[in-house]
Formats: sequence, C-alpha cells, structure tokens
Amino acid sequence: MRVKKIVQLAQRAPKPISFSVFLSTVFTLLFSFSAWSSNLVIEITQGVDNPVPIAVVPFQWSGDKALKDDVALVVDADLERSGQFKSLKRSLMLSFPYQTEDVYYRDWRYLSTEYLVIGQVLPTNSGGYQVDYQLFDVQRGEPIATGRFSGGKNDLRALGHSVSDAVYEALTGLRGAFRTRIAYVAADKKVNPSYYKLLVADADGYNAKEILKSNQPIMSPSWSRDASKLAYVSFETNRPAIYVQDITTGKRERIKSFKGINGAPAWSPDGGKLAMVLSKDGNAEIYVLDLTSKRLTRVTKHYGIDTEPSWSVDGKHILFTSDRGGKPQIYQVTLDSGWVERLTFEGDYNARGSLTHDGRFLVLVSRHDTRFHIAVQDLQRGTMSLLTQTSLDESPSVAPNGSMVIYSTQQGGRDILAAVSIDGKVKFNIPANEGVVREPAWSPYLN
Amino acid sequence: MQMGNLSKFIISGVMVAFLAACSTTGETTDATASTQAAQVAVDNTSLAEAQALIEAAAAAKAAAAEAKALAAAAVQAEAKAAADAAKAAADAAQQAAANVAQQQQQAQEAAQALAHIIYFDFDQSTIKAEFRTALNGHAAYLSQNPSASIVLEGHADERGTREYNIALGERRGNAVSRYLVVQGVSIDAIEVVSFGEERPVNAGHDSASWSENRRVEIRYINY
Repeated sequence: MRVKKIVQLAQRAPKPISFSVFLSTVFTLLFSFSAWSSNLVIEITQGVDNPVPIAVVPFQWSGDKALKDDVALVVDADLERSGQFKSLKRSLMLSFPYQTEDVYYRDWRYLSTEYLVIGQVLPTNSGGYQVDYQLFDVQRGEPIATGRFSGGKNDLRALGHSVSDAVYEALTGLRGAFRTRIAYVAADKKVNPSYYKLLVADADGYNAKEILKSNQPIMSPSWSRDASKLAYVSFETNRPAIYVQDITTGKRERIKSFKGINGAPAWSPDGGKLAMVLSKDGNAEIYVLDLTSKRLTRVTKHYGIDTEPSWSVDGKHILFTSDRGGKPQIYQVTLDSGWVERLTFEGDYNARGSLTHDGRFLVLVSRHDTRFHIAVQDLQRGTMSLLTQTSLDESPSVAPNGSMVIYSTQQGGRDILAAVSIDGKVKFNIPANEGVVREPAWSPYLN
Repeated sequence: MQMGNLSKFIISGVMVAFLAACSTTGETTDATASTQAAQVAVDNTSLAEAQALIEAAAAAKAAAAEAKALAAAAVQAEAKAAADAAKAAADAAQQAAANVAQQQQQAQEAAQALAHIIYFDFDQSTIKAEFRTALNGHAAYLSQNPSASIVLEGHADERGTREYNIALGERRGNAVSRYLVVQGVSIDAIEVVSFGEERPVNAGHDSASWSENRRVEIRYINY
C-alpha cells in the first residue's frame, strides 16, 4: 500500500496564533500531572510491504541546556509506528538542515528518501517551547507543508506528536491520531493478586498516569467526547458501579449503582448521554442515561443477554451484543423506533462491536475454531475479515481517524496491548514492563 | 368415764402442744400450755391421777418437741424440694438453650461444611446434578434461618469478551438463586453479584484452569 500524496500545495503560513494559545492551554491542563507510572514499550511486528522512505532531521535547538526529549525522534517513532513509513537513520544523513535554504534535494534523493522533515525548537516567553517544522517532497524538490506548535515546558513530546499528525495528514490525506491517548487497565498478579489500576498514557505508551487504584476489579473505560473524562466500572464496594472521573482534576462521580450489573458505559457522540448495561429489571439490558436531565431510558427488552453498547456515528443507533438468537451476535437498535436488526451472521461468537469514525467498518471480537480474534466487517460489502491470528484477543478500540485498532491479547501467558491497522497490514505490540495490561480505550482527538 | 376424759384431755394437750409447735410464735407457749393443762388436772383429780397427768404432760411435752423438730424438718424439706425443683428447672432451661445453640452451631457448621462453589460447563448456566445435595443443604439452612442471607458471586472463564462474561456470570448466579428459591428460600435472602472473568481462581490459560474459574461462589453475609 502506498501513501496517497497530497496534490495541492500545502499552506506555508504558520498556524494561527490563537490555535497555538489554545494548544498551550490544553497541554498545560493535560500535562499537569504529578504521579507518572512506568511506560509501555512499543514493538513493531509488521508493516506494509513498501513503506515510504522519509527522513526526519534532528530539530535545531540553540538553548543552553539539552532538551529533555528529542522531538525529531518522537516524530520518527510515530511515523514508523503507523507502518506506512520507513525513516532514515541519522547516521546515514549527510547534513542536518533546519532551514529551507540549507536543504539540498540531491543529497536526500541520493539516500532514496522521498520526503524530508526539518524543524527547530525555540523557547517561549512563558517558559515553554515553540516547534516549527517543514515538510518537503524530495523527488519534486518542493516544500509541501509547514507549521508551528507551542506548549508548556513538559509538552515537548506532545508537540512532536502534533508535527507527526500534520505530516501524516499532509502525506496521506487522513488526519493523524498520534497526539491522542489510551486508557487501559493494569493488574499485577505477581505483586498482588488483587491489585488493579486504571491508567492513561499517550498513544505511544509514554507518560502513563495512574487514574485509580483498587483491590477490586476495574473495567470498561470509556472516553468522553472531549477526552477530558473517563467513565468506567469499579467493584471497589464489592459490587459493580459506574463512575465518571475527570482525568485532569481526579474529581469523580458515581453515576449508577443499581442492584445487579452496572456495566459497559459508552459516551454518545454528542457527549450528553451515557449508554450502559443494567440488570436491575431482571437481566442484562441496554439503557441510556441523559447526563443533563438524569433521565434513564430502557433501550432493549429481551430475556437474552444484551450488553456492550456502542453508538453509531450519528448517535441515532446503538450497536450491542446479544445472545437472543442463541449465540452472541452483534445487533443494532434504532433509538427512536426501537427497531432491532442483526448485523453479524458469520461464526457463532461475535461480540463487542464498534464502528470506525466513518461508520463503514464494524470492528469486533470473533471466535473461529475456539480462538478469539479481532475482526472487521465491511458494512458496505458485508464481508468479514480477521485482523489478528493470535488467540484470546479482545477489547478492540478504534483510533479516532479509523486507521488503527488497539486491543488486548496474550503473550507468554500474560495480557498485553497490541495494535493492528484496519487493513490488517500493520501490527505492533505494546507490552507493559510490569504486570498485565488490558482493556485499552483509544481517546478521541484531544482538541 | 374418768380415763376417757383424761385421755381426751391428754390428746387435747398434745394437740395444743403440736399446734403451738407448728405456729411460728409457739416456741415458748407449747410446754407452758401442757404444764398449765396438767396443773388444771391436778386441781380436779386425785394425786395418782395427777401424777399420771404430769407424766402424760411430760410425754406430751416430749411429743411436742419432737413434733416441732419434725415440723421444722418438714418446712426445710419442703423449701429444699422447691429449691431443688427450681434449680432443676433452671438447669433444664439452660441445657435446652445450650442444646438450641448447639443445634444452631451444628446447623451453621453443617451449612459451612457444604460445598460453597458450584461449577459450570463452558457457556452454560445449567446446575449440574452433582451440586444439588450441597444446594439443598444451603436451601434448608436458609429457609430455617430467616435472618441468614447470602451473596451469589457469578464468575466466567477468560474466553470471550469481558462485559459479555459479566452477563454470563450473572446468569449463573441467577440460576443458583432460582434453584434455592424453588427449594423455599426467600428471594430477599439472596443477592447475585457477577464478577465475570475479572476474579479468576486459577490464573492459567488452559481448560483445567478455565473449568475452575466457571463458578458461582456462595458467600454467607449472615448466618
């Protein structure tokens, strides 16, 4: 698969100042954490057959002290992780230009590089950083895109992810999802059999931060649409209850704790409602809670199991797992009419369905020959294909741009996180350096 | 007849003495009364008769003393008997209470000794025949002890999705709950909480581990 080149000339002017100010504010909020946990480590296991060669030159910095993070390396790793690019090693570069006039296209063509990224880091008056970047088409010998991002003193990696997003979008036409985050659940049975943590990390596994620690299970993290809050299930009272927690302030609220199941919270696309599973009326059914009016509406009515609600892109339908036909399959209910239709027919175990941002692909867990895989069903063509070949794969969560699916699987007898591209061609593992990690939830865009 | 009167008199004297001995205030009057009676007799009869009367009075006095002793003994015996009876009753009550407590303890221990974990087949919530004895025991205990209550914790193995397994664990808990209710247990004494696959007993990833993890655990909140 080749990346699609943008035909039109990209903007050369820096991004508007107001955007930078906004970013700065967002970063200050998002990164004002004190307790950092150990990071996840990414191992790329499979890429596309012919990744596009790209060179990311070390960004210029003229300050006195060395920078804590190497912005160009952040960009490099992001682009490599997408599986669609192969970056040039620094040791092979003939020069380290950071201004347009220092770029000699012939040198880069000689190294078979198709695209070139240069940039510089500058200090801001408020003690933070400003990052300027430029992207060139080496073969055509012309600049494609340029931009500027600024943030606080702890935001260098985030600024790097913003550069990656811009470069990725300029080259593929698809908005980048590098400057996003993942929430996940960790447990360390070796340290303590009843040790559970809810964590949030950057999409590349860095900057892991503990959100909640408990000696009882934590489940089903779900992001609010503005990526500022997490809904999740905690058994801290020895019974399940749904909580909503602000990940910046740590402030949290217990939403529902009926007798029986309180599970699978899922934020609506407009952010105003929370779908959930309650069994207060007898068995597992889907409900929708209006977060403003606090009105609770029952959506499904069946003696079978109805669980794992997930919203359609327009918020008018809810997808769910039900065994009303005997075995678990994915169904869809239209909210205003109550009309239910079955979406999956292949195989005898299809569960936890969710849609890509464009509504075209249904990502789910599917059992084939006693093994559980991540699968994708093309809703236009009706075809289902397996994205993973490992066993016990579960909890798929799609990136906001629909490019990748993060999920949990097992490696060496313990749970790890892994990701696969929606076409199945790119794969990487994200093992935690301690304990087991599972139930990843990919955040929406942070702005 | 003289002798008839005399004997009547003596009997009267003995009676008086006995009554006096029996009365709580008669301790000093009993012998005095007999002597007075004898004195009257002396005034009215011959010396020989008087002598006989004195002897009779002495005999009466001795009888009175004896009677008094007997009466005191009788009262004491009666009190002792009452005390003994009370003690016996108390002992019996205590024993009965102890028996009830012991029976309760035994019943509780018997309930505790019953199997507390019910295992299930893959993707199933049917209660297998081998667990009915244990469940019947719990049902008997719970219906005889209305203050007792339990939590049924439903669990699933790790295969399949987590929230679906929560629902599956609850379905297993509900199956056990229904079984107990049919056996006469109040639904109010039972709470079902599903942990899905989140709290495995065995952390292994093979079929032996999985079969240990597909279970409902019966936990007593009150006995």
